[in-house]
Amino acid sequence: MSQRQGLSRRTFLGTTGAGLAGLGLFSPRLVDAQARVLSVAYMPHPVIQNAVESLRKAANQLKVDLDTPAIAYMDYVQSQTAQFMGPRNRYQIIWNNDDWGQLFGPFLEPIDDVVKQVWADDRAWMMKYKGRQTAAPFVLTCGCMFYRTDLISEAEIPKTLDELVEAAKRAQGKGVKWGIMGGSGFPHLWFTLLWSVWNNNADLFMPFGARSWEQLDKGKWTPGVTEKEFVNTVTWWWDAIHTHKIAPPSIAAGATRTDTDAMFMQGDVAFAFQDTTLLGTYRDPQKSKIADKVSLAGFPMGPHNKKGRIGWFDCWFWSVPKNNPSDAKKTAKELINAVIGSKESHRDIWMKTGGVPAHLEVQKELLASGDADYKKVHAATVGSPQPIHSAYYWPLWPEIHSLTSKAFTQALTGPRDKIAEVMAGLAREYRLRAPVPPR
Amino acid sequence: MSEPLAVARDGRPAGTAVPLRRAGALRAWLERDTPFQCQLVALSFGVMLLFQLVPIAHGILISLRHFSPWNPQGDFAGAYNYVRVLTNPVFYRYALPNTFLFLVLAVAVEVTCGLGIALLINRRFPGERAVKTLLVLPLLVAPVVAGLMFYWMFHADFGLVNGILNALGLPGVLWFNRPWTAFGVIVLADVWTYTPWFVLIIYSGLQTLPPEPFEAARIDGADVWNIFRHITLPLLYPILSITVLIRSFDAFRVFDVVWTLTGGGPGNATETFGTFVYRIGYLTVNYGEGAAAAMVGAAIIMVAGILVYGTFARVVWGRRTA
Amino acid sequence: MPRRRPAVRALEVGAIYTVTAIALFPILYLVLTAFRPPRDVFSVLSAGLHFSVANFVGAFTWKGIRLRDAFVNSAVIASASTIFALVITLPSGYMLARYRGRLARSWFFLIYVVRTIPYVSWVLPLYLLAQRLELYDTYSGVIAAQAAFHVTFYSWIFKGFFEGVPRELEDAALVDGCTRWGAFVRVAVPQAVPGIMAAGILGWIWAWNELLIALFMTAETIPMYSKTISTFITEMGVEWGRMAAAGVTAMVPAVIVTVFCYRYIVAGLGGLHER
Repeated sequence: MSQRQGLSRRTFLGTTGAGLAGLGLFSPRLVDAQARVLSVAYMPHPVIQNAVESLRKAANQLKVDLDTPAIAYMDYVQSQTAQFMGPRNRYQIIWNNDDWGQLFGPFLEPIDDVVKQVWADDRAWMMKYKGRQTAAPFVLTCGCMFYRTDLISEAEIPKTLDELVEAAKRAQGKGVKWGIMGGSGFPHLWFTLLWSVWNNNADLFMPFGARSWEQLDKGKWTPGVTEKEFVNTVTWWWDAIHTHKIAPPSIAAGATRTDTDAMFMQGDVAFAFQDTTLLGTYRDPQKSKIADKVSLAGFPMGPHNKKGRIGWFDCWFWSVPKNNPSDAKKTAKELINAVIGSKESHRDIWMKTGGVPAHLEVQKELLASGDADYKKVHAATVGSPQPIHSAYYWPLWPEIHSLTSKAFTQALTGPRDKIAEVMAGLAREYRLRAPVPPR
Repeated sequence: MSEPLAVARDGRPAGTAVPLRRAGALRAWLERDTPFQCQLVALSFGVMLLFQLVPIAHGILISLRHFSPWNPQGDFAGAYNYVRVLTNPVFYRYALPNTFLFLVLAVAVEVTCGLGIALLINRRFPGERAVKTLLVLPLLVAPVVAGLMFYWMFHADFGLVNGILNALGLPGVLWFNRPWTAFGVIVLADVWTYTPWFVLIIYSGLQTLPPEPFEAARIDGADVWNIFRHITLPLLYPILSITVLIRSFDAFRVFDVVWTLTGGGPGNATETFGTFVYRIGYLTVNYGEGAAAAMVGAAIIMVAGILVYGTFARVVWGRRTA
Repeated sequence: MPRRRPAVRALEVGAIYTVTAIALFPILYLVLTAFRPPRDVFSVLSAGLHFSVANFVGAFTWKGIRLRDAFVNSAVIASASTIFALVITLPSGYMLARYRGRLARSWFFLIYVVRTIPYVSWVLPLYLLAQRLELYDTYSGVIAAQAAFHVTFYSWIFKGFFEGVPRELEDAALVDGCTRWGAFVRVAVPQAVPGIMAAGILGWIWAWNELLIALFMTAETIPMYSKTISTFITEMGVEWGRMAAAGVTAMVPAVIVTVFCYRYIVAGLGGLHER
């Protein structure tokens, strides 16, 4: 046995301590947000990535460096709100969604002093905090109905829910597996339940069309899910799956947008409800087996619809978080102004990804230019007789969305005569969860 | 000069004089039992304190306040958040019962299969090295990827499983449309992922079992089943019980698999504690209520853990005599 | 091994192969998906002999995702957190093996109880705390947080090992003038090497795949593969082909380690049993 004191406690602790210190020394610290390096937070989506590219081009001209790591959609909201509540924000420019405008508002820097408004006010009012604009839109995301041109001719495009059932059946007669498809799980409910209830004069909360916190408050948060128009629409979906068999049962289990994309691109569906931005993907022969057979149209209307076809087109925005040094914020705003003001960047989004430009003049120019695709998209969305917003602008909307999606799947997997009961249960849950706790 | 130390039963040298080259009073004190024990666990305790205990305490504090982005000052709420969680029907009618049901089912199947497979591979057979390694593979897949894998395999339209059923002339099953089949797929995904864990641990344990009892039993002419029941199982009991316990604690907080497969659906049928907390705390960023939900679950599983602690401790500390 | 009737033996071996096939099947499906062209990702079996590496290329060249950096970081962090976990839990296991007094039992109870508490209950407060302590988005933060998770299980493994190490050797060292720490490090620890290897390997694999701590303790400075793979789940749907490709790539290091170290893992875990 060695006589050396050798590796004593002291050496042990010393080595460990040195190791820890070494780890600490090598760990990268928060980079002080210098005015000439900006971090952009966003989710990896083709449209947003295109917008980030435009940001980068504008940044080069302003001699600014951009750091652009992507954040998973699953974590985006909680990661941003956690940043807001910290002492200093990692990001100087962030992607903002119309859904989150009233949630993020208090934490954002007003941008209307630097950024010139080139967009429609009625699409961006929810992004105002204390009267000041906190976000600038770079694209409009819109829902629409894609269809197979080899199965449905222009004349046969259904305008009502009943016509949709017939057209779907006819398409199935020609050999396609399913007539209609859309997402029904969370957060995909727009593409089954929501577009159809809105087009059927029904809404989640009364009165129809109430969207802001104030409007919902004034309506006393009365649930609209027990109204007969709403229940009829849910029943229509039940029939579509079980009676007419034009819709796949996976909708009843909670389908995602990926299901829709997969089925449509494999050639198994005649009508697919999705975002207009999927146009590029659906027409990409690398990804889609029906690449040359795709077109789109607006949503069909329900029997109770009074004022004409509903369409939604809500913006994705750039915002600047407040908890940043003021020179960084100034540079960020200048960058946003440069990119939002540039017609080229808006046109690029349309050309490369199929996103609808938020710049009003660019919309007019594209309409006038004879771009047939744009004309169709515009008519189906921005040009809808009755525009609506696709989200409810108060913080618990994601939970309400989730609850509604669950009740929807529950209704669809249960018996037809229990649908009203399930909706009554949903109304009770609304009352339990909304309005939001004291603010 | 050194003298032989008498050694007490628990390893403590008799007497306090430890011959060191430099016997400073502090060093001598540090060599004593209690201070030495403290030194041994100092680092782990420190890390655990900072990264688990303090956050949990902080979480409790958060749960007692109205803490959310629209209320960042976080005024005191008392039991408000807890009341909202405990009176939420989704919690007591679906999330909690489902979680316990999942726990019991999944772990029971995993233990049984793990035991069976470990016993099976505990012999010489062609390709044994390859097989034993391949059996561990499911553990190496990221949970999110595994969840999605099963989602597409059991997909009503594209799924392999329905494809195979159809090829056999059977109708496809709508796996995610019915509560029980959806639940079954979730359990299956978890069983697929974690049975190898049990196989690994039990197989390792089997390697260290003493051969004498088995020899004796064979000489006495005992059959396979009796050997298993009266010799193998009791010898494996310590390892089995601890692995089951630890796996149960982990199964309680299952999230990835449930979220990717069903999102808690259809309706609330497969909602679990993990998805419930995610929904309340992260989807709505209502941190106060989310923390309360998390704390309620933590309390429940902690109480359950303490209730079985007696068994666990007895097994681990053993009835050793040496 | 007792002689078995050939029929029974054939049945047993057949059962083994069947079980292995079942275990492998979903993974083969994943690998096949990864190597299909993007348009065939959902019709994996009916796409004939069309194979492509487009999914891999797409996953690794996806701007802003930085998948390659994520893999490197995950490897570095998994290694560091495993080493750190071993360092802090070896003494802990030793303490539990050598002492039976109130302190040891209390320590054991504490780590047991803490282990029962689910992740979700401390991960968000940990995030807020890490921000304040400037440990957020640092290597040391995520390494230490991941190590904390292992305290219970590793302590128990090492307890088992050290119980199997006869005290006489350490006592002899003490008599010869070693300090307690010296006896621990120079005499006891080398005997526990199989356990260290087993714990280290399993711990490395766990840390490699670990998601929640990685998610909450790091931001864009430190991309890590587990959370980066989650970014493939976008609002617009799942990039399943690319995700499969990334998932398959992620399995490679874990598989290599397992193949080469299986024997050590088994030997190490067997020490749990030493009585």
